[in-house]
Amino acid sequence: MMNEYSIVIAGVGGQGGLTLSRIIATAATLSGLSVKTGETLGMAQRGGSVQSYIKIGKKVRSPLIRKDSADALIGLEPLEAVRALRYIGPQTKIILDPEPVPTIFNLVGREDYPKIEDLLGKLMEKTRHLYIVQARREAEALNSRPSANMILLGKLFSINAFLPSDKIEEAIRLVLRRKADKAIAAYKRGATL
Amino acid sequence: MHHSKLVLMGNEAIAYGALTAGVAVASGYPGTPSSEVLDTLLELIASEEVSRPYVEWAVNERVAFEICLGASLAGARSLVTMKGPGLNVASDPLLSSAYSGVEAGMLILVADDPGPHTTQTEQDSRWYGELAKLPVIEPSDPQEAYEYTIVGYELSEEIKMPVIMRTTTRVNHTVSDVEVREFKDPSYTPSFSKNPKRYIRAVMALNRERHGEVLETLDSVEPLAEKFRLCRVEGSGEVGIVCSGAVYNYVLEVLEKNGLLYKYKILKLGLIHPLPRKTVAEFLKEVSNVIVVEEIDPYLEIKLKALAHDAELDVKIAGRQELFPRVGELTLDDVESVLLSEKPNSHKVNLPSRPPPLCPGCPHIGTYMGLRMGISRAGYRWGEIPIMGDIGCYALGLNPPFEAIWTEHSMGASISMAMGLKVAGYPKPVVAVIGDSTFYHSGITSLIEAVHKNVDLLVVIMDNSTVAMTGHQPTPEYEESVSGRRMKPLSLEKVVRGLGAEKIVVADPYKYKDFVETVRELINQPGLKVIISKRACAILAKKTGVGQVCWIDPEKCTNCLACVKTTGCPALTLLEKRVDIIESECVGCTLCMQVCPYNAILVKKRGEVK
Ligand code: SF4
Ligand code: SF4
Repeated sequence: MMNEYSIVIAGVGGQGGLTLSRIIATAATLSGLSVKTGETLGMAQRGGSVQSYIKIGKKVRSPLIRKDSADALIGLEPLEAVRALRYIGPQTKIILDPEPVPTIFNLVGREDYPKIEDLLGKLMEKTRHLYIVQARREAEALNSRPSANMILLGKLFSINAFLPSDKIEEAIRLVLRRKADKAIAAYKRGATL
Repeated sequence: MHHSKLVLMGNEAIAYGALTAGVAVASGYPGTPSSEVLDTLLELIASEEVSRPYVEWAVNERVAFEICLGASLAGARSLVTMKGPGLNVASDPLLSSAYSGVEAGMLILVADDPGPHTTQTEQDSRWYGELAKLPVIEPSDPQEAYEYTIVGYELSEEIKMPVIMRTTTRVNHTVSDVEVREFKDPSYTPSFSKNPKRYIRAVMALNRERHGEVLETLDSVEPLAEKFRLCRVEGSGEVGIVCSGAVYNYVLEVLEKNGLLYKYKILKLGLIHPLPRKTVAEFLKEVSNVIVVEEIDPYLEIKLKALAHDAELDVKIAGRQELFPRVGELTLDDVESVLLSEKPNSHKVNLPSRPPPLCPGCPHIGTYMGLRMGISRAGYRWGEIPIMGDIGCYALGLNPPFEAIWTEHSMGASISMAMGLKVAGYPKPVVAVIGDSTFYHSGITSLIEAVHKNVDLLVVIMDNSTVAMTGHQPTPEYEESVSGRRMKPLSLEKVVRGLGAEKIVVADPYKYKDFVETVRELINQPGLKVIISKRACAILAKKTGVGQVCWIDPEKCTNCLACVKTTGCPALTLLEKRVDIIESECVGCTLCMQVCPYNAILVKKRGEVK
């Protein structure tokens, strides 16, 4: 593993970004590393923009990530991934579910959802490592809609094994307990996509 | 001593710290970013074999504060938790508490929210240390939050005063590896003895005498800060950095990353008030320039400048008043650009915003739909009648499709501000909307006032049986607490009636037509009217299981989008521009069904294929 590994998770409240960040933090601790995570929002409601940050290393100081410096961006939703643009640099691996979640302004016809090509274009201006994974569709095929986040994690892990793989599974079991089996299946599926 | 390493959020670490310190009584009122402390304590006492402390949510922060103060006077270590504005609510007992002092340790956790992410103002609660004449300590990460919680009790007992622990979101909500020790049994023999000089504030000469004693006690805190190692100096460079809280870690990170540690000398303050003057003065003597990094106000900066002036030190001090942005949460990039003297480059991308909508099937959707149509049936335009809002999920009614509320000010203000409009002679009807928990918290006194003065006002209390916004904490209507304690459930209707309100209608926000009719009927009537809009929070309902859901019959649906535009329900989505219901999100409230002009929405059993 490199000196420090930083991940931004961008999504919509309720998509499981915070759970994902807790799982990665737990896996890092199980691997004997230092970890800090932060988030942009702490409300119980679902449906708003949420970003989480995770930093893993020998001695991590702050949970925040400097501009252009993320090692990975897990995008649970394309507009939200672009909202995290400031953290993306040429080294960033982006794992993105391209399926949009319309905002309330889109739904009531106030404004249009941005064109997907434009959003992807913005991301690709900053890095060439963009991996598109239809995570929600895959999760639905596994009959486990909430596991889209695990599919994306699996994909990221297959590109960049930033922690020992068994520790991720152990962490999923610790954090999700009874729901762990489905999540682990999704995590494994993600690695094959 | 038994140690173990856990993965904890700052707030969880504070709960572990409190149990390690043998806390016996804990209370508070939910508020982001503080709520997980009590939530975690409740979970821990349910699962751990510790002799059970009293841990319960209180009706508001001042009540929670006074419970904890009383407990400390009886010899129990106590913890009270709240967000920044909560301390404003508790500020009355807070200010007297330096005078009364405590017996067993009392820790006041106040969580500030630079940014702000979820708070009405960017309040910096450190000023309360000065105002209330109490010590303030500030940890910088979850591990320190754990340690400072324990140290807070020791400090509190050494000086017999409550101690304020101030945190910010980046400490409260940061998850990290935390080393924790064994929990301690809260062992004490409850006792309380008369001591008028300390406990009775009715004798003015004694109050003045106590004031002097309080100031003397504060003078004794600096040596204790050394004993408890609350402050430290690192590095040996010529430029000084003074910091406290989460930003300390930003400073270290930026200096380490850029190999600049040798250039700077850092004073990390864990004790904010009273300022450890000796330590600070010595530090200031050794550097020529000082950068103060802090969150939110230039609090330390002003203190340091005053100290340098008094001590006639030739040192240049700068911080948030000139170097950093004056508002908002500091980022690593802000700290880096100041320490490297670079120009900050702004990274603004203009993107459509995504405010959190009300949840699928949220009863507040029904309330706002009913208000909108009822007001229009009564002959007014939507947007013509002021709807005074309050603090809670229902404030999201500010967004489309409702754009309902005109104000959201402070806990309970909806009713009293609406009353203000009326007594000022505002000519149209006025509506106040307030949630059940906010009503019990503060709205109740406003309602007494409005009833007593017989104001023409429509008050809608949205009773969803929980404190939803902060993670579903209990209201006074709960029969049993998370800790398993049996409680006496209150009835909102009886309470409101007991306050003297006479015109009270309990309405179901899922029954659209009836709700509209109720609003239409009441809005123009003279005097005070109360609608209790009663339906459990949709998230709670979902937890207990959803039997029926709605589905759209594509044969009948004309895609007119009336359902989406009227409800704004996030379970309704547009797939390739055609409306559909996401079955796993739908809670079957039928609100969309009740407004579909083509009867295209129907009910089915969950999972049934149509
Ligand atoms: S019934 Fe309609 S309004 Fe209610 S939750 Fe389902 S989709 Fe939303
Ligand atoms: S209101 Fe009825 S007809 Fe119109 S889009 Fe919705 S389901 Fe279709």
